[in-house]
Amino acid sequence: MRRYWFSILIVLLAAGGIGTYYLIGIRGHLPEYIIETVQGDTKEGAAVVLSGSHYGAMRSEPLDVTTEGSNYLGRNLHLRERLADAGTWFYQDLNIQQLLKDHKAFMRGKNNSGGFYRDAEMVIYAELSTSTRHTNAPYAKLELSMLDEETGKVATFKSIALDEPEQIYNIMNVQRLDNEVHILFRKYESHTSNLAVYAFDSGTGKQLRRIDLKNQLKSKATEYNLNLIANESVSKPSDLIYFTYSEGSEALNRKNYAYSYRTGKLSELSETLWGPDIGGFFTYSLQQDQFYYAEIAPDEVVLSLYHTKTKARKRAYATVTAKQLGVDEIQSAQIQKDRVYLGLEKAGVKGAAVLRLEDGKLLFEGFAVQASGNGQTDEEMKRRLHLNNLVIEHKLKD
Amino acid sequence: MNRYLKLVHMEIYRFRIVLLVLMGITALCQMSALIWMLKKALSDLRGEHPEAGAYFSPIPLRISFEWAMFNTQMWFIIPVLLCISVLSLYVFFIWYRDWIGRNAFIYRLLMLPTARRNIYLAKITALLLFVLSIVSFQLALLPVLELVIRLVVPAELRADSHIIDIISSNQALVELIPRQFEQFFYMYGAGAVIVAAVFTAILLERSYRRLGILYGLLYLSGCGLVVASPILLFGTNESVIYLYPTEIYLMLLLLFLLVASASVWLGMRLIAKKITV
Amino acid sequence: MIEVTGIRKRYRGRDVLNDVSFTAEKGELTCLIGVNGAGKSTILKLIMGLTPLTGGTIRIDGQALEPKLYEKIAFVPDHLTMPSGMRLSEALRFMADFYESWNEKRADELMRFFQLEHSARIGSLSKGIAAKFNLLLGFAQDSDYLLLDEPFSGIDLFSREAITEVFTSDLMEHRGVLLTTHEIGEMEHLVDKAVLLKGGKVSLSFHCEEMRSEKGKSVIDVMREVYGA
Repeated sequence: MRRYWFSILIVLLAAGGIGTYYLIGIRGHLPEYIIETVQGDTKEGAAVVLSGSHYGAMRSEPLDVTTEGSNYLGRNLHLRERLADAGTWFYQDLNIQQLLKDHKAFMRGKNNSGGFYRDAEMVIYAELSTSTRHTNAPYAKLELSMLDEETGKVATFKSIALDEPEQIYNIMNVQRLDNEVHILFRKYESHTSNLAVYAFDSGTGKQLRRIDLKNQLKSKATEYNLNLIANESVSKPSDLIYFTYSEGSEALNRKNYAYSYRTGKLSELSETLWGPDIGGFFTYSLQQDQFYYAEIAPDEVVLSLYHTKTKARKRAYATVTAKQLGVDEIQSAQIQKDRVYLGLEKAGVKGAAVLRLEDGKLLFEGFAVQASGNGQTDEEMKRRLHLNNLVIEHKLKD
Repeated sequence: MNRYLKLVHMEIYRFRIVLLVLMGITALCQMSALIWMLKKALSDLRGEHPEAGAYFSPIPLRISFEWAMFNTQMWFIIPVLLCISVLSLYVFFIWYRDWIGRNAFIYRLLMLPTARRNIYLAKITALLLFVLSIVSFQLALLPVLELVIRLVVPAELRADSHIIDIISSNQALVELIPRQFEQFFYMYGAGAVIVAAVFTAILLERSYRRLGILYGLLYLSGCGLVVASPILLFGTNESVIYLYPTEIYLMLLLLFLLVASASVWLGMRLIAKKITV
Repeated sequence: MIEVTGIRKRYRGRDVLNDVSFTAEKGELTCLIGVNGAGKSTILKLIMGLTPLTGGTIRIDGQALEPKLYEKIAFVPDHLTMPSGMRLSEALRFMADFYESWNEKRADELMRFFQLEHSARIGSLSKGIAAKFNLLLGFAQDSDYLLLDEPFSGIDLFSREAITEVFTSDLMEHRGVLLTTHEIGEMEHLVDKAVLLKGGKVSLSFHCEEMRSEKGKSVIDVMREVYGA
């Protein structure tokens, strides 16, 4: 046994060195942080993610801080997590998460969020066929998949020819109207692009008609930008869709347009969705026929609502000030679903607040602090922790 | 089991000098480079011989291992590259050394009253042990070098570094020693699968001689195709992938397992039935 | 009994051996005779499983070859097959480690008999001394069968005498010995059975005692007939 000492030593070295490193050596590398609830219900703050970096002596480490703790992204470098990471933006949408849960098989290989439509009866997905991508054949072929929620049957129409195949199509929005599927495309041709709505028969997949939006614009300007105002969730039914319009590179003559899938008419709105008296930075959320918008200033956030159908406006129905929140600055705001998320800063420390969209009531307020036992002074923490972004990540509740 | 262990010991024993020399060169090279850099930095801090632009990053107020590592990287990387080259060559030499010359030791090995697969298993075990022990040696060397810094640099000019930061400052070590054990397992596991496949290719050559070289190359290409099949099937630019990420992960795992078992099975069969002296 | 039946060996497209059959009994010394390249070494390697058979069967005491049998059958190739950096003592320990049938006492006796140094390195041995050690590695195993490939090639006269002495000792009493050699002359009185190979087949196989008493021919006489020299 004695003469095997060298081999035994090698085995011990091999296991010991690596084992010690991964069990003990890697501990205590980076300080842990957490969002501490100062007011309200911690559960309301569950979707809040303060994202940024931690500055070390010679390098910075990206990290996310939530109400559950901190997560350093430099750690997530292994294969399983790297694969799972791909396409997280797509998976963020709660409706997509719900679709994945309900119809896992149908959702395979579908990742264009603008191509989804869902109502109580059906799920529709539209995608441009990629099979001709690397050939010289015409690019523009449409593929439509329709899932009947009740029976689970799927009808697929592949290779629906589009009438101007030499142009590049992009799917912006999908809607279902009785037995028709309407798709809003952006079509690129040399250096210009145009929006057009195509209607297809949902029984046969044949193209029924085409409506070019540019023909219905009031102004005949040649250089203009017509952009879809995205709905809160791209896959919900909504008969009306809205656009921003401006002319030229200096964005003059700003207007909003509304298009009705049912009538096929594009009409200019007498006033923009956010009204004429908007000032400074604002963010909005179009939720079906309700257009919420929030004006952000360092000292206050003002919430307003515009009903697109009734045209009633509830201007500044709620105001939340930095003083009320006890912070130095309100730095950002996002409206998602029925909540308003604010990014805050107090004495060099970042935090977040969650308001109820309906009335601006404060539901949660929290700030990033060191998790217990870190050993950093507050000064050091302020120097090292730079959480500059507020990201909202929803997880589907089971 | 007993004879397998004895064979492993024999393989380790045969390689012991090379192993010790590699470790020695690594220790010597890294230690001297570190000491030289520290002395230079100290004298510059004390304002003795200022040399503009002599460092990759300016001298901090307090010298840390992290900083020293960043500036002496090359001298740390050279012995690492040496170890990698020697071990890579030994993947082949561990077999071919038994055939060289008239004193062909392979006769003895093939006539041992133990299952032939133990020869295969002993060689792959030994090789893996060599790789892991050198990695461990490098890891164990770092605290020793930290001690050297303590001896050379006085406390008021010194700052501590965490071992992860030290490793992250070195372009080679940061790749070879991942932060998470799971990634370490994937990396070195994949390496072990590659070694198993190469061993099988070597045994194909040793069993079929000239035709065997062709078989060996074909076999390795086959293994490569199997493992790369997800990329080939789905394409790198294609956005339409019909598998969810977890499924792709499991698929890759399965493919590697497949290549590993095929290689080991084939290798053991070749050495038992087809090998020729 | 070592039973070789209808074996074929194909090498580089050529049939080196084509239907070779013979037996070697325990307690007898069987000699494989043939011209250079006739395949004598190949037959021994095939019996030892050092190269694969193209066809035919080989049975040792009725069993097909498997690793366990290496305890029972020892092979002394035509050159020493130990690494040159190894010392003789290490080589002996290697054998002791792996073979239960290794007889350490006999190994020591033979070391003294052949006047070999434990601390010498394999690579530094002269041809004659290396050959002696090579034989020792075969003799010191308590095997039932001993295969030797050209045990006398390149050995000086006096060493040959020493080796021949070992063959006649009780070391060989109950063993089956199968060897190949060119130096049939000095071995003739030891050989019990001769197997003559020609053209990849067994041309003739006989017991020497019978051949001498019945036909009055020596092995060399028969060789001249078969190979026509």
